[in-house]
Amino acid sequence: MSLNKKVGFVFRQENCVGCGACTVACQIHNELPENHRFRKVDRYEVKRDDGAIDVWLSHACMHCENPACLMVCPAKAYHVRDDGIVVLDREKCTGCGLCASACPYAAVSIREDDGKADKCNMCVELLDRGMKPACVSGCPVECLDVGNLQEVLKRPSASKQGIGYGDCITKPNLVIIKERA
Amino acid sequence: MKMNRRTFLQGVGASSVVGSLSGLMPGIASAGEKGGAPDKLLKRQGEIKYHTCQRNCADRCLLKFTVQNGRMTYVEGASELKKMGTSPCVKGHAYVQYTYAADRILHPMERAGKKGEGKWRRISWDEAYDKIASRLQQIIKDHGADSILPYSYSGHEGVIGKYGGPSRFFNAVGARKLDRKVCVFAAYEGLKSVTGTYQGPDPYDNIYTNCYISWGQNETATNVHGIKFINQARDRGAKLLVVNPVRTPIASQADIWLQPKPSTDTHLATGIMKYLVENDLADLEFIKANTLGYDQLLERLNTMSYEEIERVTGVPKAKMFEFARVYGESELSVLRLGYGMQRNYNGARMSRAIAMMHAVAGQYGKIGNGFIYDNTQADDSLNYSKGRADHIHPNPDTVGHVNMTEIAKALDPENPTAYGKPIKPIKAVINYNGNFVSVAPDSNACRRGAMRDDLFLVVHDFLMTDTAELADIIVPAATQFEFPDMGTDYNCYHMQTSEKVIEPLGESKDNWIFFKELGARMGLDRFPEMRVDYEQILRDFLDTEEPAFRHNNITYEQIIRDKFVTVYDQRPYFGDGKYKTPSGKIEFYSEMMKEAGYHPVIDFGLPEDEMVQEEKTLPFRLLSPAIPQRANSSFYNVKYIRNFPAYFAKINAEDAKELGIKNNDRVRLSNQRGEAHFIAQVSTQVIRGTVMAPKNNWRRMDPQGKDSCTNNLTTDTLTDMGGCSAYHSTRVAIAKA
Repeated sequence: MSLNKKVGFVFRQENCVGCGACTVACQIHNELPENHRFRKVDRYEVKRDDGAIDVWLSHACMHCENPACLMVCPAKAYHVRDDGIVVLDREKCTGCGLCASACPYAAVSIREDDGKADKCNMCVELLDRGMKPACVSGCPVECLDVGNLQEVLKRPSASKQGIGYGDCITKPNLVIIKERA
Repeated sequence: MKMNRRTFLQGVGASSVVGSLSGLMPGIASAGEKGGAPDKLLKRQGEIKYHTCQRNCADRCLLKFTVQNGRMTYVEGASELKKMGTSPCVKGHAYVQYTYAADRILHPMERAGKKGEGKWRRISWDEAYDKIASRLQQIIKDHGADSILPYSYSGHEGVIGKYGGPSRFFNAVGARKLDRKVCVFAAYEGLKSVTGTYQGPDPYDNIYTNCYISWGQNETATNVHGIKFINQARDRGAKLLVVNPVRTPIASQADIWLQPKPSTDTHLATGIMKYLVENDLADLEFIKANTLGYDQLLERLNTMSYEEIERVTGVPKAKMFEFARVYGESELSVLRLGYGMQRNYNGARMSRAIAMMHAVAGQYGKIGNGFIYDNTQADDSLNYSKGRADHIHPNPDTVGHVNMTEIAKALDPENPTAYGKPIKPIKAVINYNGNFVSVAPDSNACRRGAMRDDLFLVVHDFLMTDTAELADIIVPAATQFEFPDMGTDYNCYHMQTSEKVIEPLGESKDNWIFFKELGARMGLDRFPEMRVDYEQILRDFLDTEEPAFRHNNITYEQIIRDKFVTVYDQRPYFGDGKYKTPSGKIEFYSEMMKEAGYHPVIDFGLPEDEMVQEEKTLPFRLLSPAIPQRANSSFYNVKYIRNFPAYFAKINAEDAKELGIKNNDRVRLSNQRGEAHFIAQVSTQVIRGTVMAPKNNWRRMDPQGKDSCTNNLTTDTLTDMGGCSAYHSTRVAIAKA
C-alpha cells in the first residue's frame, strides 16, 4: 500500500466553533440511531496566561495505519482499502465488542438497535463518486475536509497534533492544520 | 428506466432528476463496492426543490431538498449561492426529521377539558371553521373587532407566511394591531441617531477587511455561514477583535477579546474613543469631512475617566488600550453588531456609542470597512402595505396597538395595559408563527393571561407548544415546506425563492389557506384581497418602486427562474459620504437623542438604574441568548437536535464555588417573576456576577419536569427607545436545587 494514495480527514481546529453540524450531517447520511454518533465534537478549555479559551475537536474514526479494531476483531470484519480507509463489514460482525474496547479514540461503538459494532467509513460511497463525506460537506464553517495525506502533510502547518489529539501506536490519520499562532 | 451504475451516478447531486426508485434498487444493491453503503445515497436521488429556510436567522439559507414520490428525503445547501456553501447549519441538516416529526399535529382539535388540562377532541376542519368563525363573530358583536389580537412573530419569516397571508385576514377583520417589536428596534434608533440607518455594507466584502470586530454577536448561533468569510480575511492577515460578556467560540479564536460586564458597552466604546483621540488614532480627516459635533464629543469624553470605565465595565484598562490600538491602526475595520445586546434598557444608547466609535476611527465608506447590523436592503424593498393589504383595515389609524413584548400585560386578567396605559380587554388571540408562552418575557404572566376563561385562544401550529396546550381550538399548520413562498435575508442583500417541496401533511393547512378559508367563513371574501392565490400575494409585495429593487429590474419571474437575486446597494456603502441623518452627516451630537430625553452625545445610563429595588439587589445578571442548536422555540422536538442541551445555566467557576455548586448540579434561578430550573455548567465562559441560560426553551419540555423555562425570569419592560424587548436586563438569584 503506497502512501501516495492514502487519504485522511483534515481538520482546521483553530476555526471549529463546536456547533455540531458535522455530527448531525453524519448521523443523517448514515441513518444512525439518535444516540449513536460516528463523529463527535468535544470542547476543551485551554488555560492561557490571561484566562482560558475553548477549543473543539471534531473527531471520528482516525483510519489508523495500524488499526486496533482490525487487529483484535475475531470475525475479520475489518479491512483496509488501498486508500487507507478502514472499513467495517457489518455483516461479518458478531457484536463481541473487542474493537470498541481496543480503539484508543472511542471511534467504534456497539449500536443499540442491532447489537453490532459500527463506525465511520469516511462515507466511501460518496468518496468513490467524487463527493465529500457527509461531515465535510455538512460543515457550515468549512473547517473539515479530506485530503491526500502525502500532499497535506507537506504543508508546514500540518501535523498529527492538536488539542485533545495526538499520534499514537495505531498511527492515526487525522491531520490538524494550524495556520495561526 | 433501466438503472445502471452510470445513470445512478449522474442522478446523484444533479438537479431535477426524477428517478424511479423501484427500478433503482437492484442496481444499487449490486453496487456494494469497496465497503461502501450505496443505499445511503438513495435519499439524495429525486426531484430537487429550492427552498429558503424561514427561521429567524440572518443567514436565511437557500436549501436544496430532494423529493421522492412526494416525500422530502434529503437537504443540502444550495452552493450556487456564495453565502451558503454546501451545508445547512446544525439544525437545518435535520429539516426532514423536523417535517416528519412523530409529534406533529395533523388534524384540528378542540379542548375537551379545562384550559391546559391536556384533553382534546378531534374535530373536522368544517367544525373548526364554524366554531372559530361563530365565536369570533360573537366577540366582534359584543366587544368589537379590536378585541381580537393576532400573536405571531418569526415562526415563519417568508413573505407570504409571515405577513402576506395572515395579515390580510386581520386587516379585513379590523383586529387590534400587534407591534412586532421584540428584536432590533432599540438599536435601529441608536444607529439612526448616528448615521441615519441601521443598514450597512455587504458582508461578502468582509473578506477584504484588515480587522473584523464582533461586538455582542455570537456568529456560531446566529450567523454561522458568515464565519467562513471572517476566516478568509484572517488567512490574509486580518485581525479578529471580539467584545462579548460571554466567551463565544469566536471570542476564543480572537486576537483580542474584551469581556465587559453586560450592558456596559457605552462605557467601553467611550474608553476606546478616548484612547483613539488621545493617541492620534482618531481619523481627523474623516471626522472633519463627515461628522457633526466632534467638539461636543471631545468634551463629553473628558467627563469620563479610564478608571471609572474600568470599574463599570470590568475590562482591565491595559487590555482595552491594546484593543483600541489594534483597531485604530487597522486600515479597514468592519464591525458586526449582534442582535442581542440591544435587548437592554439602554439598548439604543449602547448601539449609538458603538456606531460613534466607528466614526472616530474613520471606518465608514470603503470596501472592507463599515458597520453591519441589520441588512434589510432586500426586505425593505418589498411593498408591505400592499402585500398585507393594510388598506382594507376599517380603522388602521385609530385601532389600538399591543407591543408583543408586553403580551402578558395586555392579557392581564385584572388590568390590561399597553405601553403603560389601560386598554380595552382582549377577548380572542389567534396565535400562529409563534409560541408566546415560551418566547415572550415573563412566561408565568403570559400563561396566566392565556388561561383566562374569557379569552378565546386559537392556535395554528404543527406542534403541541406551551401556548397550544392552553388553546380552545388547535388547527394544524403546514410547515414552510408545504407551500410556496419567497424569502429575504437580512445579512446579505438577497431575495430567494422558496418552492413548495411537498404537499401539506395530514389535514394541515398553511398560513394563507387557513386564514383565507376562515375569512371566507366569516364573509371576508367580499374583499378581493382575500380571494387571491400565492402568486398574487408575492406579486403585490414585489410591486415596489424601491431603488434597491428597481435598479436591477428584478421581477417575479426572475426570482422564480434564478432561485435568488441580489438587490442593489451602493458599494462601498456610504462611499458617497452622504449619511441619512437630518444633517446628512454622522451626528456625534444628536437632537433625536435629546428629544428622547437622553444626553445628546453619550448617555451613560445602565439597566440597573431602571430596575425595581427588589430586582436590582439580586446578585446575578441573566443573559439568555440564542444557542446554535435551536431557533427560538423551534427544534426542541426534532430528532438528532433535541439532545443538544438547552436547559443549562453557565455559572462562573468562582461564583459556583461560593454557592457550593458543581458541574451538572441542579440549580434554581429566581427573581420576583418566578423561578426556572437548570443543569449547572460551571465555566469561565461567563464572568462573575453573570449567568447565561438559553432563550425560549419550552416549559413542557423542561427535562426536570418542573414546567419552567428561562422566560419565567425575564423582564417585559421595554427598551429606552424603539419599544423592543429587554430580556437581558434581568437579574436573578441562584441556588442549588
